[in-house]
Amino acid sequence: MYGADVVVGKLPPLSEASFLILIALGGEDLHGYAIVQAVLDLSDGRVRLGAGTLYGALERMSNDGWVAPSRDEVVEGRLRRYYRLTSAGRSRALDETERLEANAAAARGRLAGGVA
Amino acid sequence: MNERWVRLALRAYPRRLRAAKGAEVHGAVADAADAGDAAFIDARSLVGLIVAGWMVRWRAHPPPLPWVRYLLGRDVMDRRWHGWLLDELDGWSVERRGWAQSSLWLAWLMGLAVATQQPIPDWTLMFAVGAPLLAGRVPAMQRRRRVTVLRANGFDSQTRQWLAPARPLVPSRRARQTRAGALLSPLGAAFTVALIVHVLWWWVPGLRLEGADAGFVAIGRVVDAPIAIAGRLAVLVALGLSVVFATLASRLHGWLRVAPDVARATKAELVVNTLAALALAVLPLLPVMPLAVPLVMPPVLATGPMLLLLGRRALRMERDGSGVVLARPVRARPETATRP
Repeated sequence: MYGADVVVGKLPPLSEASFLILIALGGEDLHGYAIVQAVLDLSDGRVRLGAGTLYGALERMSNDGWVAPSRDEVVEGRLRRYYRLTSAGRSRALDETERLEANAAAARGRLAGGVA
Repeated sequence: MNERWVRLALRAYPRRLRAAKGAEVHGAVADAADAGDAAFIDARSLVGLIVAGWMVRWRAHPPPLPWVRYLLGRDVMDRRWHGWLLDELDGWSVERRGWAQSSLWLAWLMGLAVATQQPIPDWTLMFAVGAPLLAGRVPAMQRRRRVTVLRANGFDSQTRQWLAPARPLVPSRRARQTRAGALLSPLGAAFTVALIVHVLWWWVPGLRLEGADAGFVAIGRVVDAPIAIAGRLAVLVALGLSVVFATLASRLHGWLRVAPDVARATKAELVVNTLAALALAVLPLLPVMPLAVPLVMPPVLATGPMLLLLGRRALRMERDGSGVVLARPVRARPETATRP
């Protein structure tokens, strides 16, 4: 759990599942299983979220203020709770994206140069 | 994995989240089943769900110190932990703790019985009568008191919504201050007199009653009845008085906070309530268990003067109009205000 006063540059990296959930919610509000499908698409089928991972991550991110429930819908007797990305969550996802980009750029430069 | 396993796994979540979260997870599981996604709720996912639920519990649980204070009877808890507190009040742990308290109480009495070499069978009667009384009464009082305190801090127990900003203390009415002072001073005086009497009784040879050291034997002689029956009756009377005194001590709990600031009030409350409850509960057992005297004397020694001082102080502050703040709740519903 990170407070708002934590220096952004020193935040620990997000887990891949958390990062992908934030990215999935970046486009539109999604309900639980729709998030699973969106993450599956984003990761080319590599990351398949289970219920425990999904709801554990959503709970943590709700506590941190990165995501928030936006509305509830009942479809065929099933409750679907939609989640939205908050501005704090968007900022956190952007920071993580920049961190990953920086790492990737550094890796490309180093590997292209043949440094062992 | 069927619904039953999901429901079981969701029990890992705190009570207040389970209803809302349960419907949501069941909906997602049904969506996954329609999509043929068995992995969404396989055994590994179920374990993950349980771990997630316990992590939520872990984060919602108050830290050790506030938690121990709560267990000792402190009502004022930071609003960060009120979610946990509501689960606690709604759940079965209050009753469970009531039984635990009752068991501790019995263990204490059994220990005293063994230490004073009283026949154990006499105490089984106490178990039969005392355990249900204590186990039912104490948690009920605690629950009522804590719900009232939550309401006083702006929580509506009907709608389970915050009505007003949480306040650490609620200023009481003048009547309560007077009542506290009027009650505490005589009680403190009574305790102090009891202390003096006991000191004279036990340590001045000329005043010591013949045969009082012998406990049950002395009672048997006085009432001229078979010792076993007298002993049982004495134990029953002592138990009844203990319950009454323990109830009184519990009532005192809310009236003892007479210090004008939070920190001093809670410190005084913790010390005085613990001592008062201990002394009140054990005091009636003195006639039948002389060896309990060394155990009772320290709390009595401290409780009497402290109650006397607190009561006199409350009365004085009431008289001169200086502000006494009690942490007792107001009965009326707080004014409605915006609350997240």
